[in-house]
Amino acid sequence: MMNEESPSQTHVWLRRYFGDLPLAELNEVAAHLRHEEISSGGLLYRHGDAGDCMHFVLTGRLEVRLRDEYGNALPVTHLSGGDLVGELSVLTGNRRAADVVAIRDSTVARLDRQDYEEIIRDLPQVGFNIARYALDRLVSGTKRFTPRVTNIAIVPLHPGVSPAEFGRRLELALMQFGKTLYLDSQTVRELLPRPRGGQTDEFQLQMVLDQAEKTRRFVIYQADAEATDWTRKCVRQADRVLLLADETRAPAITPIEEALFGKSAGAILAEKELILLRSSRRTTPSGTATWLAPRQVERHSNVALEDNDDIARLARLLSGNAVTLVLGGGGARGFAHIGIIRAIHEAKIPIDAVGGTSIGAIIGGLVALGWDDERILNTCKRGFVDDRPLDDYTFPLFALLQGEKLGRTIRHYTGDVDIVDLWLPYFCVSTNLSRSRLEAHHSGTLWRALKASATLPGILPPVIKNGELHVDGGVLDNLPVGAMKQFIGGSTIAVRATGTREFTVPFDSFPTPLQYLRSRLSGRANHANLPSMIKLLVSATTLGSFRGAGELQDKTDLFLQPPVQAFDLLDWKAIYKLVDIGYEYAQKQLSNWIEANRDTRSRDGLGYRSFAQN
Amino acid sequence: MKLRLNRFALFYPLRIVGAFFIILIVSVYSLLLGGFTPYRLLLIGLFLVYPHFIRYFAWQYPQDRLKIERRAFLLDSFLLGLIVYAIGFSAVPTFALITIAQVNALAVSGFRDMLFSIVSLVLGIAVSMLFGGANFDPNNLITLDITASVFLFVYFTFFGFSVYHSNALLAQSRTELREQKATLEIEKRRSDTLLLNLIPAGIAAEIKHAKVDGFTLFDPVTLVAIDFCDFSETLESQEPDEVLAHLLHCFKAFDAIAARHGFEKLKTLGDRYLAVAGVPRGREGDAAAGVEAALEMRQFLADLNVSRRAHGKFFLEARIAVHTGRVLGGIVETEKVSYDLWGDGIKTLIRLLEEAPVGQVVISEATRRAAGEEFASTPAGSVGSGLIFYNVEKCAA
Repeated sequence: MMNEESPSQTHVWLRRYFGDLPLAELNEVAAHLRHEEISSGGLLYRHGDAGDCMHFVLTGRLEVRLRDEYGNALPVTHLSGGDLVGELSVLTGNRRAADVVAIRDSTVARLDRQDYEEIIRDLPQVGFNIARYALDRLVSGTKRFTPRVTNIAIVPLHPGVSPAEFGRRLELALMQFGKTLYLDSQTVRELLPRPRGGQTDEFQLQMVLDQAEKTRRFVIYQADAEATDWTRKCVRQADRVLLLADETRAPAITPIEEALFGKSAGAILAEKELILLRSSRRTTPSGTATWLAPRQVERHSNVALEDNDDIARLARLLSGNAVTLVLGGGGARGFAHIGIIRAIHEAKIPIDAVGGTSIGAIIGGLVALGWDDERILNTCKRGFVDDRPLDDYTFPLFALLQGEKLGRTIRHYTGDVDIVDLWLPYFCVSTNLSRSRLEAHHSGTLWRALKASATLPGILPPVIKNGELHVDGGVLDNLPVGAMKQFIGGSTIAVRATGTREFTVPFDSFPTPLQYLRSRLSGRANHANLPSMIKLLVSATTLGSFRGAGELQDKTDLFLQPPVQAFDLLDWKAIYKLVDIGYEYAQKQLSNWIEANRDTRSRDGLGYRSFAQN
Repeated sequence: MKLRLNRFALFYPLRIVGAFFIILIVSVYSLLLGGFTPYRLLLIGLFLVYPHFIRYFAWQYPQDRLKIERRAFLLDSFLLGLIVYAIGFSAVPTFALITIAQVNALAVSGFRDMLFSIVSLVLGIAVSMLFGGANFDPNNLITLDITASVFLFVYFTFFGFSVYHSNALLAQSRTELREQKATLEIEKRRSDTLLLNLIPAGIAAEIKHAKVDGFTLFDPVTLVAIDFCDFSETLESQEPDEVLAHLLHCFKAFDAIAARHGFEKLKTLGDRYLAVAGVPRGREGDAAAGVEAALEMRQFLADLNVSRRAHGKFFLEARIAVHTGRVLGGIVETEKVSYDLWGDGIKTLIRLLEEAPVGQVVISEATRRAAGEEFASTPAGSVGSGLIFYNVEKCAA
């Protein structure tokens, strides 16, 4: 049952696997092939099944997934038109070694084992060719495979959200990174060849879409405002589905979502991202949590429509060109982050996501709020230096300080904003004492998360969240680069503010209070350089940053370590000096980095460019 | 009350109020106790005139206002010393007057002048004693005490308000400073962006670091030009807003495509778009990248037009030319700064553009040679004497 539309195409593929056979024999082989259709999300092979057939992919795209030791299925490769799958099991008689899933609507041609054996009886060279192909695939090994986002479906949730405008703006933003095609239902109808007798529209449509995907880096599928066939097709074809929501509407599930993703609809493999459209950047977003609660989406973004910055950021995130910033803890030394951020802004490097620990989390949070450099500096000066939030000493039952002042101070400046409301994707880490593990906060009130991240044990009492105790993330991971890579990926700039400040002490033991008093009064400053209790606690709790320094540097694309060792961890008053040190240091490092990355020529045939602009 | 008063604005009213109360105290004392001696009458007269006298001086010499006021406070203390003597050192009034004198001095000029003001006060008392002998006759007159206390209260209210007023002024000037800085910053950024938008970024960087004078020869550069056909007609027959929006969308797309291939937009001229690579420095593969970019721009327009046709909207066709040659570039020194390129390269490019068939990408001989093997070019015609140009397509992989 071969289609008559493209016999030559199928013959070309058949020749690749079966060798250069004359037309009559190719047709004989082709007669054994059975057409099958798999819709997006369907399973072709399951790991462990008996393997008694192989498949040629005609249209669409399949994903091969290997199971790791925990049972997670990790994508290994993608197969599209002309590829062969399943031949190993047929040749060796073993069970299927991987899962094969359709990630688009696909058509495949099945060749059963008996038919295959019949063919190689008549044409033994076919057997050699297939075996050689299978060996080639095995030998070339499994390269590091990161699935790319190519097909992006845009589904408007509310009438009045002008999806065409958003889609076109996204198209322009994506064009900076590769060839892009914008499709909506009318355009696709124009592209389809006039139907000829015996052809199914579906097959032709799939061929057209496959061709588009092959020649473009990105294809934008603009869905209709209702759950039409085209809309369903968009969602089945997509690698990422963007749900456009109007912030002025109610956050409940809309009819189109019910139709596309509800219980009656099929499985959707693509990750869904909720795009909350905000009219202005001047007010911090709010209410994002109420939008996320009723839905199952893997990601979300707040996008301001008044300029193109957020859409450009979305394009960078989708194309894997995001630049992320990870800020480490380090007490007052972390003020250097402010200077570094100013240098990054001046170098016109975009910051697409932020994460951090302790003071890094706080400053990162202010960046994610969309504040400008001046405002961040003033707020830190007022909040840390003027307001003195770390001086509410108390009877040391649980810690030296009461901890209320710090929380109140942070809350005063950031308000009650939720982490999901922030303009930039953001997280901060804290150490969960109750479960003995590092925890990244991706949602919840920002000030509470910041307080949890900055709570040095012994100095401040742990923060209680969901009945569990949280302290400073620096105890386990002072520079959460790993967490950022898992969250966003992309190029990471990491800033470490702790330094290895070694100090040796020329004594055998610490003095008693009386001895200390005596030595201070006598003028011999012997005991004066001993670290105080607070400094000892702070040192101990930031030790977590020195582990694995080498592997950290490998993971980051730009590792910054401003020279702030001379400053004390609690030297808040030196804020302006620290900011300047960070700024000057970063300026130098950034210009070197930009020079090194300056190649803006397209790399592969589809066009690809790193973000680094002059 | 508008907060635009200067810091000395309250001194005159304060002095008048002070003078009023002092006259009141002396009068009460005189009425109920010692009688209106000539000395006391003299003092009353003095205080009637004193505030206006100081004000006159301050008005005459406004630049020396601070100096005048500082001297005036010393004089205030001296006079208060005389008053203290005149009321016989009665406890509460004496205490009130001394407090007021010292706090005044401290508020205006600091601790050092407060010391001087004490000296001045003592001097006032000493001078009085010199002429009038000891007059130590303290009296606990309730009326006097009340008057002095009210004086103290009024004075400190005034004083408190003055402090509040100063703080408000300070906050206001701080806000203004911040706003000024912010406006400056925005202006600077805007002018920077404007400058960078008019001039290819490579040149702008050089201009910033080292003055670029005169014109520079660039050889070779690759130029890509796009011209929309029948643009004026379309502008006439359609809504001008829509046509220009469409044009702008295309230009933005060309920016993105050009940038990805290492080209920079040089300028747009009506419905023409020009991009250049090789300024300030050429790179290997510029020509190939130029052809690549031109073909992608053509593809973009083709896709866009399919979409527009499908939606029943008007669409524009274009022709594209790529040329490799030499140009002269420099800043056009006029009111509006702009950067331009001249020379044979530009001339040839424009001629190619005008001869190009609609919907095609044409390249010159120079580009064809420089671009290499991956493009298939077929001769398409010639311009004038022997300038051959070619239609170009990407070779099938």
